[in-house]
Amino acid sequence: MDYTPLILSLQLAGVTTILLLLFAAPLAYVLVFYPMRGITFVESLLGLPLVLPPTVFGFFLLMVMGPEGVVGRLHQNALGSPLIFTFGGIVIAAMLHGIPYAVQPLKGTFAKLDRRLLESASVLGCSRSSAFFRVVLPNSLPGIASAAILCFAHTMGEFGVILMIGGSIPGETKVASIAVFEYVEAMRYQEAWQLSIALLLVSYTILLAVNLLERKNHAA
Amino acid sequence: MPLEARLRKELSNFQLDISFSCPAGELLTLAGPSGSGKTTIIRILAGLDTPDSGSIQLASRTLYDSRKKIRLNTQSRKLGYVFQEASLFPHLSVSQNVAFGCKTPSLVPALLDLMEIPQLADRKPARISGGERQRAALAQALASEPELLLLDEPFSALDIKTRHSLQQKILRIKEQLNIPIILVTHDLQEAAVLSDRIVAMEEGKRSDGWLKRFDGTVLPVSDRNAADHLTAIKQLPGDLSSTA
Amino acid sequence: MKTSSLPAFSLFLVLLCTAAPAAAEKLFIASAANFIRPLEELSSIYRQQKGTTSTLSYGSSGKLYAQLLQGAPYDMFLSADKDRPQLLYEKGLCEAPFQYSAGQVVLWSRYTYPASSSWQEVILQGDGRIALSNPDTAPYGEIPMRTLQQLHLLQSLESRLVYGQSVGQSFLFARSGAARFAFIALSQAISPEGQKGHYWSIPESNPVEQWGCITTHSRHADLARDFQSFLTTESTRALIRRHGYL
Repeated sequence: MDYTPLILSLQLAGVTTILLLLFAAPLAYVLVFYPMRGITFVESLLGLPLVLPPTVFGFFLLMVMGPEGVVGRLHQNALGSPLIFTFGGIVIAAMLHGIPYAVQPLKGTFAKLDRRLLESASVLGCSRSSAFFRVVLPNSLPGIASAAILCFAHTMGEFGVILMIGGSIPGETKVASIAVFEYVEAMRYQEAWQLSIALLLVSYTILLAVNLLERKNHAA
Repeated sequence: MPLEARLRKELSNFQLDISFSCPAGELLTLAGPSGSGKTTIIRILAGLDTPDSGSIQLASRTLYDSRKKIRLNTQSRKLGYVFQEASLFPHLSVSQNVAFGCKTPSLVPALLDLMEIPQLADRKPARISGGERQRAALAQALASEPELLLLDEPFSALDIKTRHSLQQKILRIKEQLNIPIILVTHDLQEAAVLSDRIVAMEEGKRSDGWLKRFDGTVLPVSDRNAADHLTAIKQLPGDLSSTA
Repeated sequence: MKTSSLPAFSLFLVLLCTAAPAAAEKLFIASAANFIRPLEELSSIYRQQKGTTSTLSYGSSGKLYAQLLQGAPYDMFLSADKDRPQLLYEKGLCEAPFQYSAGQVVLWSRYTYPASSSWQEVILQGDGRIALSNPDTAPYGEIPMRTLQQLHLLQSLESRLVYGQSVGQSFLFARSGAARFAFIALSQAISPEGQKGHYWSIPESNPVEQWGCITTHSRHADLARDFQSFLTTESTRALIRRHGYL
């Protein structure tokens, strides 16, 4: 039994979650506390991945990230290697697809913060960006954790988008969901079973660990 | 280092239009019924709110000037601000809270001593009393070495004993730090004890007939306490109707 | 009230009964995705000739096969290979399979290369990704894969291969430029979209025998048999050939 796809899924979910949170947390901070003009347009745009079918999303990404697309060409010019059909490519796709799963819970958490904490920080001479690190983040840890779990889970289950832009390269873009799909297509049901069960066990273990941790935190 | 402020701002049900000044080493009280615009003034001074026009001058620094298009942001105004209910950072201990905006680390233990809370240094704000939190908040405000201290009803939620003790602290701070202090309160006794100047306010403006009005609208004449307050205020030095 | 509504109700019943056989005249055909274009033309000709409409469902042969194993209600299965209809036949799920066409694998690119070059020269000279369908599930992936192995090209090209889930997706990869080349069906290469690029024939590769069968649970087996014989008429064969099949 080849568990490479499962390991690849875990790697993809891990990398995507970390990068996405690094990107989404400051974004959610700005959206909640320093909304600029035209914010509604930005927020609607960020919500699109929730609404668009993964196939549509994947189709757009294929067109944009390919060597003929804007992003793909920029990447090629800057780094000399193509973006599409690479691990980096599916990380970017999973990040874009996961934006609302990170931004929404973070926004919810930040919005619940007492605004006076931020006012107090700025009175004490703290800039907006350092208030983000010194005040907002440390007081939003549970919300950040749930955003991370949601991103991780969503990326583990990512299928349609990666099917569209991954190219199913073993060890590079052939993640567990794709591998199961291909086993089923190829009538290799035993392998499909094994990988599916493994995926289920891994997912359950992660959720269990998270819930136990949360319970412990509540008790503390 | 006097504070000079001229402020004008359209609020939802009246216009704020007021000017006042407070020399360094003195405490000016903004007094008036709730909803008369006192907190708005404090927030404007702190840069958390913006007036429509006017100016704020703190010694040689212009914090705000609508004509010169100057608006210093909050973090560069060098203020101390104590909110009605302490807004200490819940994830930090008391001493970390005091040290938050502090550039001189040796100040932290000294301020904890001054506020008589050195034994609470390592506690989180959630695990100390309301009075202790206000002490810590005051220490935090002073630790950033402010050039202007803003107190927005800092003691209104405290019991009378704690309140008196903290009022004594304020008097000492006023003597030691040569900076202007602005206090918002609707406790006449407190105003009487602490203030060098009182700006009486009604609907965003100075009210010269404030005592009568205030007495007539908020405190019934027959109220014994009210009479006590009046006596206390009458004993204040200076003429109330021509403060500032 | 009651009596007056009765005739209307019985009229409705009559309509319902007469409508039912008409609905039953429909053929439900599951076809491999590469055969979309000829099949749509054929089904419209067949409707004009015989008055029988057909509902067409497309997918990769592997997916359709899995659906048939689970009792999908298709009357006919047109696979892109020979094995799957044979397997269904062995399981007693369909009648004896028949060949309805044979496709050809070609190499396609949206980019221009010297006209005289062979597919091997082009693919070895050019860089960039090469798309083909999943060799485990799609005949249009399996056959070029076998050709690459036989010509000992696989080792040098393997790192450039990307896999589409169907020949349609492989084409999309190359059409969008995400992949430089794709192994696709000739029928795709001569379609209007395919004409926006260039193709090279691959003489070394075997044709892709496409077989079909009539399912045993079909309730319109007679109709399906009629459509099967329609598929083998000379005019039908000519039409299929025009679409790039042998």
